[in-house]
Amino acid sequence: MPDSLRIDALYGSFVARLPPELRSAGAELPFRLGLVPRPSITWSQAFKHAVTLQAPELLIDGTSGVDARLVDRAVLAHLLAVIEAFGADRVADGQVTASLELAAVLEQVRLARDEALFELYGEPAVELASDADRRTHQAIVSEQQRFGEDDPVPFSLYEAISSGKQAVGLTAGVALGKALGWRADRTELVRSTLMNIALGLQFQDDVVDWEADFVRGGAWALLLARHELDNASKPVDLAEARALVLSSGVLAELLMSSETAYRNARLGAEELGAVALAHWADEREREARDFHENERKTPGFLLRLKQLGPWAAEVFG
Amino acid sequence: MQSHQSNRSDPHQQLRQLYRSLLESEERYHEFKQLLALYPTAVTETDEESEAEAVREQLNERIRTWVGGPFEGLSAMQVLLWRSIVVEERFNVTLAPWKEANGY
Repeated sequence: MPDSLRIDALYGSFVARLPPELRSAGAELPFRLGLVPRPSITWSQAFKHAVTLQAPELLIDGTSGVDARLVDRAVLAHLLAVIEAFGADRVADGQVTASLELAAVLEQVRLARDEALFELYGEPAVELASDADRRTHQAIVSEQQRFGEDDPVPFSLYEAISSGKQAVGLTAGVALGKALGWRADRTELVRSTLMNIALGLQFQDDVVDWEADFVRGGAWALLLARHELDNASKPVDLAEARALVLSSGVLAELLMSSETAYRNARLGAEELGAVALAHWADEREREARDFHENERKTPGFLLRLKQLGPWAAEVFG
Repeated sequence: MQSHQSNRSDPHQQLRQLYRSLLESEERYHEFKQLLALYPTAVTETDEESEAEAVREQLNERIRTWVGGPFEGLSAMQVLLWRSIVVEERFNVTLAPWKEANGY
């Protein structure tokens, strides 16, 4: 895996170019977005693995003679795209309070992303990003609509909306492939590999966070469960929602989808010669299989594992 | 047989059994959480009121049922630790739990 300190250096270069009045908020963005408990924690420390912010670099680790400057631009564009999407998502679903300062920082993140993409592959890369922004925005609007309507939803629709939400995270990797002169089928493989990574993570997230999402106003797991249970009626509280979700089997189904997505990501990474990424996806696939099997046996397993995790780490090391 | 018996009398092993039993059952986990929530936060290592002691004893009895054998019992400090993590969701920051939470 590449050195994650590079992430902080690249992000630091972005912060240094911010207007002085936004630098503090920019530097503390993981904290301001409620992702970490202290302002001093950096982006590289905020995430569990390098794939989230450094995917384009991992995709080309089997390719020799690549211009390091291009890789730098691709990683910068990718991490800024992910950060901006993360920020917008957390504001949209009310996990953080919107403010003019936060909006201004996120706008600067988007502009810097486009600048990095332009340096990577010119205007076509910026157009790719605009198109991805539109698709992600549409998906988020659809998601909010579904949560507002609160009607049961089939798995196919959930998958379509989830895929739309990932669009912004694919652009820099695809643009890097194009900048390297890769054929269309190879850049398509880059796109599908990144998409499968994002979906593998998203499906697990929608399992682990479903109760908190429900309390905030909308959870996919519940809409899927009600569809699975012949359009069951709306629950009146979290306890009733929990009974519906756990009896429906949808959490296990989501984790099986996560396992499939990681498997497809591993196969894509292997074909691209991206050894470290393939290894990462292989580990995630095994983990997702284990989660899926345990969730099937004892519904609610993954959420309990998450909630008991800090205690287990403290006591068992 | 000897190793089985020593495992059952090992407090660390007993805590592992409790952890596994909570992971394996949603009902147990919620009952555990509810009993923890009843435990007062004002307890200190040397000062546990009888009401708090009764809650802890009730909790330990339930745990003995769940793990199906001898269980030394959670101390007042252990109950407070469980409570802070499971009920109040206050994590020890040295564990970097946010890394586990952010799957992106």
